[in-house]
Amino acid sequence: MTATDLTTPKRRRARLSLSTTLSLIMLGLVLALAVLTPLWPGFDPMHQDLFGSLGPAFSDTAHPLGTDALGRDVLSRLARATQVSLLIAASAVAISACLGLALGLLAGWYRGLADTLLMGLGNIQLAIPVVLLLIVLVAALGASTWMLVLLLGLTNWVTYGRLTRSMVLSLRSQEFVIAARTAGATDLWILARHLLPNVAPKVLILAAFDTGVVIAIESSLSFIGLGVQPPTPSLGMMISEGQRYLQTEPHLTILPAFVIFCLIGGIQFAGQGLAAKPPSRG
Amino acid sequence: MGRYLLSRLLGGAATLLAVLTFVFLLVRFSGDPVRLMLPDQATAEDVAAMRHALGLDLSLPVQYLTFLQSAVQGDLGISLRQGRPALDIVLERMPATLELALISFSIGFFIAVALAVISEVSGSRRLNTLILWIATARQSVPPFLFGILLVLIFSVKMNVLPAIGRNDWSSYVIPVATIASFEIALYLRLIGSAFEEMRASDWVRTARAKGISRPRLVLGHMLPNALLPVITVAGVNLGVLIGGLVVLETVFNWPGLGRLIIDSVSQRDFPVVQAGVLMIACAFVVINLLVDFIYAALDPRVRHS
Repeated sequence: MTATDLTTPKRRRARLSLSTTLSLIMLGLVLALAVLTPLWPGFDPMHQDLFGSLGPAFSDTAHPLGTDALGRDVLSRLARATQVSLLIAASAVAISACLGLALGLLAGWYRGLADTLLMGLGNIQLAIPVVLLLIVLVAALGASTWMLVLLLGLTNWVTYGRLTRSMVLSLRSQEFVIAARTAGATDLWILARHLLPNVAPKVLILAAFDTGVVIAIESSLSFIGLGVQPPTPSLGMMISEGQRYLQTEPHLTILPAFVIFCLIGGIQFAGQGLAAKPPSRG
Repeated sequence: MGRYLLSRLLGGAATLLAVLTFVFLLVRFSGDPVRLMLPDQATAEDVAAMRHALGLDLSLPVQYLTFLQSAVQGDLGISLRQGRPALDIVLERMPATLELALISFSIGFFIAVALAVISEVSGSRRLNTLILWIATARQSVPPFLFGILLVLIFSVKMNVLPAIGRNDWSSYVIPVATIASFEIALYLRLIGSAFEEMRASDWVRTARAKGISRPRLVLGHMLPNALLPVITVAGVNLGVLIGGLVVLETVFNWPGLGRLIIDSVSQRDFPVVQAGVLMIACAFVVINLLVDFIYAALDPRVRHS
């Protein structure tokens, strides 16, 4: 290693920490499941075959991971459910990040009444636990995938709003912002050209971690039947269906559980890898 | 400090008023309760009579004021399914939830502090990393899933613990372990990162240079400082805990408030949902007020401001 370092100093490889490697493996597995499985010719998450129900895993090449209570292919359902979970989480996080970013910019820049109102609203919303709030809202407004995305997005903006606001508060008195104001820049120009680019990177990082949280919430809701509605498969719903056969067919519960673990864990361990100090090298 | 506490009290009151408004609007948007209460063959006159009896024919602002007035007096309406006051039904279920939350929180918090202190006193990097890894792995499994996995291992496969219900002590083990492990992971990471920051600080270096023993340094100096921010997080985290409980009580068939709310949601019994949500929000506001008071009592910077 030392010898190569001396001869080719520019090609020194950055060593990945153990947790980063683990995170890449977990996320890689999940992405492969979501992206590659649909290319497989036997892919069909919906087809029911009541005579071939509860088929065991690893015994039939037509259904590599067995079949569920309605004879549907477990591998295909896992893949579709993963796609659904990722799509819901990504869309919901995009909504709450944009909303929080916009509201936080306004509150931090204009202060005054807008600030008091927005942050007060945020405090009030936090008085009802998010999962409970979602359960009640879904119950009142009706459950559907897009309603779920909308509600998840709208109930989760507070963290982004607070982060953006606090950053804008410290940025607004910095010289480059004051210089822009002195030069006659409009509010819109300063917000879009000076504040947004400074705030966006941190909001993006928060969004990446938040995706794991949203996946956990969505799977909990789908588990109690208030999230994704059948026939669309979701990981939480697959677990609640599999729970009935815990005694005889535990893989119906364990497989979707493992996918959820990889999804959330992949993000969590990436965070741990980032937080840990990089290995010290000369 | 008086002004600080007063502003917190007013904030709490405003939050409760907002939650009351929210649950009021919620019931108004969830469909006509009269249709749910009357049989299908009810005539238009029956419906009109019922609406009049419930005060639903009044204007929305009047209904809102009436609702607020009776809510303040402790009247949150009658359950559409059981015909009893919704508040009574909610209060009956409250102890089971509180019990589970408090037992799990205390056990989890105590173990987290103990583990963090042991790891810090030992000064072993390996132990530190191992604990961090386990905590992260635990946080990667949502509570409902962890509960099911425990049931699979200890009830289905090994058959040593009951999977559901609330009977003797053994039925508490799996639910408490599920929630407590989540709390352990959370507080362990919080306290651990607080220790990490302090380790590089001047005052820790000074203390060590003066020859203080490691246990005394950690227990007497570092832990009290690390616990201060943890108290604030604990208040907010309680919301997460209760939110998780709502789902977990379904998994374990635990006769608490969370299961009541979910059952009432599926039966469209909105007065009970209303009362349940209100009760949880009340608990949350009161606990956060307590946290603010404790914080003010502990932190001289707040106390003297």
